[in-house]
Amino acid sequence: MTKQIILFYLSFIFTSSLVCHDLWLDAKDSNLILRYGHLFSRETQELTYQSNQIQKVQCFDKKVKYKWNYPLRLSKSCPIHWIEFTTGFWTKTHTGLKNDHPKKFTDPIDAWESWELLKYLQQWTSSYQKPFTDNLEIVPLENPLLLKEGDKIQLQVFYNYKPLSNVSVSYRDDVRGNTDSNGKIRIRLQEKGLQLIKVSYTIKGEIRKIYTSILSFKI
Amino acid sequence: MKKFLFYLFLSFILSFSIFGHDVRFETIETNATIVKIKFGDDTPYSHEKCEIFLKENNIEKLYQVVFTDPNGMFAFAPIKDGDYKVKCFREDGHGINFQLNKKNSVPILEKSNLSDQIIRYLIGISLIFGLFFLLWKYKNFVTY
Repeated sequence: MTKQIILFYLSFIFTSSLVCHDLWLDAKDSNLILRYGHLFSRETQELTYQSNQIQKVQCFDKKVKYKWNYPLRLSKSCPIHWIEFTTGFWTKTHTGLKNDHPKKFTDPIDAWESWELLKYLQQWTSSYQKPFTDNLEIVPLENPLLLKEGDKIQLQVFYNYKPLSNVSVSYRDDVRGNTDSNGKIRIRLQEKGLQLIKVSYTIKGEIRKIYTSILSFKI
Repeated sequence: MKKFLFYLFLSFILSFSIFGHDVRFETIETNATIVKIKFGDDTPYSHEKCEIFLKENNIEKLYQVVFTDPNGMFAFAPIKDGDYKVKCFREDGHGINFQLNKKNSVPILEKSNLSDQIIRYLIGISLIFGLFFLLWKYKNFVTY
């Protein structure tokens, strides 16, 4: 049997990894461009999105009216950008995952609604140590823009303005731990450049809603 | 007699055509490769389509189309030696491409694949043991 195993050569060469989707802002000239896909897989893989998948674009601390098409372009002058993005309903069928409502299929296995939220921080004041929305949101409890590679950051996760305990927080697609009873967690910023800290939360219902909220900034 | 032989021949010919359209099955005991696909959090990549291509003369030819089962698995038992490229792609953009190589005319055996996390744990444990070994050696060196 051992000889057989030696004789038999089987290699699994994985050219792409299986990870959750990222939403990030890419600086280009005087604008920030919204990107969707996999930022931290072995190769950055960008997926196209529809402009109607963007449900809300807000700038905190500054009055800005937005109109958008593909790709979404934002100004670099806004202190905090907030983007709500949805890919809609997903239904697991016996012939694969379909981007449609489960009612459209005769024998669905599972179904959910997917939401991605992005908070991109460019400036800091102490008033930013609180949530701005009633949605799933990661709040930095210290100025993240002063931190360097290797520093730790204290964060707090909120949903509906209330701290959210026992939810897993990931950094660069690696789970770093769960929030404590006050919704707090401390994580190390391992790499310089664009930071993406992610948390997911599921709201139960007839069709469950999966929210993924991302806190992003540059160090 | 001639008539009998004629009918016998006719029925023989007809039975051939019937057998030609007949679909039968058999179970074979063989060393098939069971390919298991899962997400980073161990969730199975279930009920998804995968296409397998055989690379011949630098041309990729579609060899097999499969759907993963509820556990994210499918059986693969190729007859020919060669490099088989597996491409799985889901509508939400999550997919995987990998290669299975079959050599020496022997079937590919099932092989489990260690996840990055397990590898990291093994490296961590090895480092701890290595450190303890070095400390033990150092202690012995200082004592004697």
